[in-house]
Amino acid sequence: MRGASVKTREVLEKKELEVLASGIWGTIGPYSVSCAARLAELAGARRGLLCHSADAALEAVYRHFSLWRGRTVLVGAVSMPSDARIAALLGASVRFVDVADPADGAQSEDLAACLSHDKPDAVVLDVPTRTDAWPLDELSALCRDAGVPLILNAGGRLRVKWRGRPLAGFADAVCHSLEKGSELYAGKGGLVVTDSDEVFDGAFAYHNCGRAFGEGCTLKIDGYVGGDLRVSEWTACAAQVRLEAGDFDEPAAPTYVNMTEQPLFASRR
Amino acid sequence: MLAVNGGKPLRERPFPGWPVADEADRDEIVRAVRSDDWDGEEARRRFEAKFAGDCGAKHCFAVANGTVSLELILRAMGIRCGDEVILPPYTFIATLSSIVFAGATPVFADIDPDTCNLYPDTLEEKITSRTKAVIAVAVGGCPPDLDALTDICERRGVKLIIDAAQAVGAEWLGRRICTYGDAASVSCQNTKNLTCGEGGIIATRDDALAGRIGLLLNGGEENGRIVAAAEDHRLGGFQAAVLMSQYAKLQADMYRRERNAAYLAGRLKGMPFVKAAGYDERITRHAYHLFLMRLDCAALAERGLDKSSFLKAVNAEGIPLSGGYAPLYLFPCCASGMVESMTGAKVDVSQLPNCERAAREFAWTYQGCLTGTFADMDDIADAMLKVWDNAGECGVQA
Repeated sequence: MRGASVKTREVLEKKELEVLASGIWGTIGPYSVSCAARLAELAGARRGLLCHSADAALEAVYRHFSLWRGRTVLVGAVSMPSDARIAALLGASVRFVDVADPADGAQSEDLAACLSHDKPDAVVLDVPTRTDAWPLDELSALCRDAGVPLILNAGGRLRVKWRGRPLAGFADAVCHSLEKGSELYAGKGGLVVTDSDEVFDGAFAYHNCGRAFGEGCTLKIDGYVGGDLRVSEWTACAAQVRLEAGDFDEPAAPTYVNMTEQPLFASRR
Repeated sequence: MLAVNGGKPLRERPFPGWPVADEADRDEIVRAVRSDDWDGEEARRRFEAKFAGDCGAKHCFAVANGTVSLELILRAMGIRCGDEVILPPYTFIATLSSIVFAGATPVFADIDPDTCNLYPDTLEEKITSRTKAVIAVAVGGCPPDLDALTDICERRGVKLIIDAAQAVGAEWLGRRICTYGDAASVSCQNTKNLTCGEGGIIATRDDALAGRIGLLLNGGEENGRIVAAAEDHRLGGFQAAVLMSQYAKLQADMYRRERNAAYLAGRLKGMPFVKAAGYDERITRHAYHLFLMRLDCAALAERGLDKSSFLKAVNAEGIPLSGGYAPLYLFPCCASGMVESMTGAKVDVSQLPNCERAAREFAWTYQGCLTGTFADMDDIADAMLKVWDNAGECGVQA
């Protein structure tokens, strides 16, 4: 991974010093809002939310869908570890859908069988590196027909599309990483994009201590038990500067793990 | 004429801004941008060693914020669904949410009527066979009674966690409060006395607990295998860099706040309607993230004021005073069943008398106001006096 170019770093240095001088270093600063919007646009989605890590982006979405104790999340058996790990962390039961080759992604017949058998409360699938043969439209339709939210994890690929179409059009939310290996490495950060205002509002509240968009740092908290998953202005600034410069890296190949063989899930098979 | 009624505010210039950046901060940011350490591994290590060394904690972890820090501590302690964790209700929601996110049941215990901290006198009655930990918040930067809390927790075999989100640098009997209890958590959010915008610190002297925290921060991975449910909450490189340079200024800032707080408390002594919050003599350093004061609502009422109208009028004079926290057990998430759905257990939302009284009577001003001069403190005191003296004019409504 190359990281930001020398030219980008020169611009970034100036911008980060402006952030420093502004005194707004976190808690929904201007870059966290503008960068999220720009990244959503890049991904072809309506709304974007930056979080302090790729894991945190998943958590924000999972919490919006109440994927905690008593709920079941279906993830790829061979997948990026965070999909299942975060679900387990929140207390959800994790079930696995067979994935013959993670580079090709989950297939419709496997998902259909699991939807019928496991009756999950959400499905989390990784966006494969080979999307040509990946039946996202069918997978999306299966979830829609089952009334189950579909969450996609695209890892460090922010520009990935499915047959030229934005992923957000097929899923309730798409999560991305801005961390090492991302095509837009900005330190520690993650991104949620969605076309749904409801998903955005819920994820936002969970990521900002239960406060709605626009409430910033107040003590006005809605009915959520929200956490703090907020991105820093430093990271948001770095991502935006790189984005504006078109300074993308080649994304690293995702690390897939057979989650059914992990000790954490040994008893869940 | 009072400003709230159209008169000229007593103060029209802002209080000192926060945070404050200097050349050292600029150097750190430039270094961070030019480095390959945006992930923060090296910067975190540097800060963690410095902080741990200074405060006497054996282990220190720089994490994403002061909410996940609490959650990490709870998870690392093995606290889970079915366990109870005691907390004070007069604090920010982060303390509650960390317990709920760990899956445990929050149990509210009443607070000290003078300091708003957890009250040892009524704590023990809340401890049951399911209690696994007590989270003692240092509200506003004021250390709680750590002698009594330590004694209770040790006798009853429950963990003691110090929520020092607002209290970095505070000391009890000459020792940093981060070294008390089984673990401590600090927030480095934008408004905090030590800040990097979004950040948190965990401090502990417990080797086993530290090992467990390290495992969780490593995504639950051990020898290449995922053995624990965990999330990456490590602090990023830019934040860790700024934290170093900001930390170097902490002592000077603390000194300024302590001087100004003492001066302001002195000014309040002569006023019949307000007094500074209580201060235990065993506190060797108060962090003064908030300057808490108790309003005499009966005295205000005699002049046609209530807390809300008083604060509104003082704010209009150019002085930022806040009405303080509402009790957490009154939050919709507790009453609505949201917490129950997340933890599987009902939350006791019974009112606690001292907390109710604190919510009615306490107000505060912010640490940023305390970094100025005695003249700034005079403005705070004089604005309150102005409202008090002129409460009867122009129909300030109760």
